Amino acid sequence: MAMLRKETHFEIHHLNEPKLLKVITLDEFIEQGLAVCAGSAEFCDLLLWLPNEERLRSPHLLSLPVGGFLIPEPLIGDFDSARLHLHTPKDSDVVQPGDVIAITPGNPLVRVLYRRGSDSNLLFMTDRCNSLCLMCSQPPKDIDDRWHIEENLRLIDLMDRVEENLGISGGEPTLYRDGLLEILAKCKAVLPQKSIHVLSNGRLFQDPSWIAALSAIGHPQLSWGIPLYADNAEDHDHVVQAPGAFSETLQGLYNLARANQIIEIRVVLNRLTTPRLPELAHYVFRNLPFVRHVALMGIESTGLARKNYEELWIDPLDYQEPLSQAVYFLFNRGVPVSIYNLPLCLIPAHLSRFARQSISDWKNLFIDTCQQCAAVKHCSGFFKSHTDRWQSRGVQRLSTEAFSAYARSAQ
Amino acid sequence: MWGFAVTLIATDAKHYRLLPFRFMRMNTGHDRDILLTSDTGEYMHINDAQLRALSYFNVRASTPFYKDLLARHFIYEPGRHDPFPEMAAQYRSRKDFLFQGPALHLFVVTLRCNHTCQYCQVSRAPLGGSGHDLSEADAQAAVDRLFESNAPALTVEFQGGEPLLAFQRVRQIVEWIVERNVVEQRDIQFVITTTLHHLTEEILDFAEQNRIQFSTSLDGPAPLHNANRPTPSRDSYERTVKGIQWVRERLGHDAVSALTTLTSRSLEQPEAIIDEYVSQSFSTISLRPLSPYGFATKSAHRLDYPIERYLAFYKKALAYLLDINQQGVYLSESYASLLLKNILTPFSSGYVDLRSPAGAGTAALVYNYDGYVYPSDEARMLLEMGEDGLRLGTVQQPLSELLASPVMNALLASGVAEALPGCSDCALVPYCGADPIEHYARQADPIGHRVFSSFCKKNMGLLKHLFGLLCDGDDNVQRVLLSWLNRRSYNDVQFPGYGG
Amino acid sequence: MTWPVTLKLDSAAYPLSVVQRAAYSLADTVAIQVGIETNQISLTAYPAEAKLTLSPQQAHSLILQHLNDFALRAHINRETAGLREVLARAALAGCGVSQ
Repeated sequence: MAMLRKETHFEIHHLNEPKLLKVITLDEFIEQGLAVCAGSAEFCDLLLWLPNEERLRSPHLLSLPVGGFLIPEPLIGDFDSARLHLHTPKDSDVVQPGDVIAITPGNPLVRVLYRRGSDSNLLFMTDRCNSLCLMCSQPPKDIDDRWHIEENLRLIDLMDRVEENLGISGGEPTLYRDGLLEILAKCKAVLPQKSIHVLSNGRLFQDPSWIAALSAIGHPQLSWGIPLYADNAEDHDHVVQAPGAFSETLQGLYNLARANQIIEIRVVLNRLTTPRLPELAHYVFRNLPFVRHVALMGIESTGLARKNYEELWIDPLDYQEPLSQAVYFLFNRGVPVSIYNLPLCLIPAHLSRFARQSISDWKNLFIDTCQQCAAVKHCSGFFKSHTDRWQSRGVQRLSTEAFSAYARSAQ
Repeated sequence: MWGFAVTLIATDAKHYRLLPFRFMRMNTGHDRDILLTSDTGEYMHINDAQLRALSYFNVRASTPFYKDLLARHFIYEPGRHDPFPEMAAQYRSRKDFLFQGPALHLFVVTLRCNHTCQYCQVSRAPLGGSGHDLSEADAQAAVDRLFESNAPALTVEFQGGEPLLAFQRVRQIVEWIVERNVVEQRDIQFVITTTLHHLTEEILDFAEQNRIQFSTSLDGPAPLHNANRPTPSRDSYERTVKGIQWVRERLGHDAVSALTTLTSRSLEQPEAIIDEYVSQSFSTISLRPLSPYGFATKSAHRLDYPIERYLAFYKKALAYLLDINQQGVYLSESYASLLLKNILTPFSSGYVDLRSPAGAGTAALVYNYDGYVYPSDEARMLLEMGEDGLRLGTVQQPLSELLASPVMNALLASGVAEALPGCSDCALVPYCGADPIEHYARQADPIGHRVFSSFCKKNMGLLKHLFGLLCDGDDNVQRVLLSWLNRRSYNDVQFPGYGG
Repeated sequence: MTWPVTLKLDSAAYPLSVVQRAAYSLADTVAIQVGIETNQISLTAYPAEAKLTLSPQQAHSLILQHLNDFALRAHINRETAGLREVLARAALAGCGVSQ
């Protein structure tokens, strides 16, 4: 099972300016026209999916009033037109009808900003961040990349109008406060059927002026994923490499609660966070009883995590006990809890009911050992950044009997 | 950081400062025998050496013990994290009930009754008379009082005597409330406290329409129940059980709940009482001791018992309950469940008889058949002892006046446990409450002397016992207790998880 | 050791408020007579009616333990003076409980 990347190369002709384009089939164009987009769109925003065969059969299609054409294979024959067109993708699976792509003149790179049918689309806000977590999978850049806001506002218009999950993340999304609020307002107006989940360290919410702004959004399905790595300032601040972060995050959490926001606490499981994981669960329950969900996440071994290996790496087999204690502490008290990003062979059977298949389709992969495993369809697999150094000694294929033990304990 | 000026002891060699906490020696003989509780209700078990180190600033920074003390709000680090906001959040959550008016409203519609229960706390009036019934005018005024409380969820409980003997009044009150609630839009629950001996189809039809629930007395198996609760036809048990079945048939299994009252005789048979509740398919049992009111006091020499006997009974009963739960029979004890909620969560249990400030008047109001308003059921029972000193006023007075009455002020002055002698230093105070009316009844003083207080002995005994089980109980015992906490099945609570 | 059990306490280490609380908490175990002298407090203890089997040694160590515990509580209260009230005030602001 290969993971699907979010970008590939095409040969691009007659592109004069950067564009965001919605890929649609001829049938869609005929049946729905611009209604295939959730928001306001024009014909020039559409990129018609046009295999060679269709074009050669019906050359008049080239005069359709679309923004351009996408040939999802090497070009056959001549393209008799000075209109924008793309052909010969390096990986032909990457771009599909319904996707929204971004292209720039002089660059063969085609980025998929929205993938139809994927439940892990996200609006990327910025590469900047005000923390520097030891395990940061996306090291921050100190640049002005406000242009993401405009791109996202445009992107919202071009998405499908369907019920699905949409994430907002970065870097730290709250660094562009007005842009974020504008995007959330637009999501409510244009994509009210989508569940929005924003990943943020919550630190800037310590400023109470956010409360009114957040309450005013009134989004029907908005939730916030905020990391908390310890029940005390010393340990948390060390993990995020920012003195005062614990206090700011807690203040931020209370302000989010005052603004009636739905809050999820996220914890990345590593050598620094697992020793006091049960104590952290206790702290969350006593001090943040309004939390709707706790997500306990296997570590992604990319970015800054690599250079902090000694501090961070712990074999998941070695934290099964605190993990179990924390999970059942929360579950027994009615707090929904999930385990993400850990292969099923590394989770004891009695915890498998909490495991979710969670690695985004564009990030996950399975290794050789997985080929004969009975659990592979239910397993989140590994991050594509996975290496031997970060591999548990416990990775193994599960037999059918072993896997049915998991299924039974999920009752 | 704190928003006020505090004189701190000036040695800056200290890397931490103390937050207010209390401690208690549990006398279990264990090493970590001292219970430490913070104002938030968080707790730890520690030993003498740790208590001394903590109090005299000798706990080494960055150790697990140090981090536990920080996280549970026994200490803080000046200039580092300010724990005040989350402490205030926990404290507020525990005292959440202060943010609304009385939520429990008891309507005593009549004193007429066909039973002559030995421990009855109200005078029984003959079945035929009506001089002890709540008048229509007073009932209407009581409904006005009810809605003057701003509580979003209200429980309306009909009491007596036997309320079904005055069913027409009950019907009227329910109808007035339902009509008025179209505008008020509160979440209202109706309960009738009854022997179930006077049920009719008409009553059950009405109950079905208005989703009324029933609460009855079931003291144990037939011989015990009938001995405690004599009727002229000597068949209280049989008729009660028939009533339970009838209600369940018409309104569903959970439409009726049952309470025991424990007499001296009851204390000899914990297992039999529990077995009776199992065979009647109840999922909750309430094992509360006799209160010192009404007829119970007059017959005290026959019925009453030292609270120590009750505690011994309770521990046996609880052990038996823990056993049968482990075998798959779900039966929770209601007082233990609410104490567990107080200990294990930052939420208030909502129980009016175990709160600080005391629930009398603030949480519950009683509209008595005589047109007077009382702050609790016990207060009106004191009436039967010739004590009318606990009236808040008449039902015609507005609620604001009733709650500002001298009686109410006297109750509040002696109703804040955190300020009472004995309680203010007690480590269990976050989980306990004040009961000025019981102290007034037993000791003739609403404050009372804590060391001689049955209320204190009961609560302290039960809380200490539960702390012991939570600390030392095996995994399966913990699983049962946790299953009671959130009303989950025992099997669902596969592991106890972190014990805190 | 015989009854009555007597103790002489330095009133700086064991102020009257500490002695009062200790005596109160032991009211069902021993009856304590408190004598106030310069810089000293004297305690004379007799077994309570319900605890006539209590030995003087047991009483002595019990009284001392309670005295020490209440002295520790007094220390904790001094170290945390005012914090409890501020916490309650902040937590309960807005519930109509004024000042």
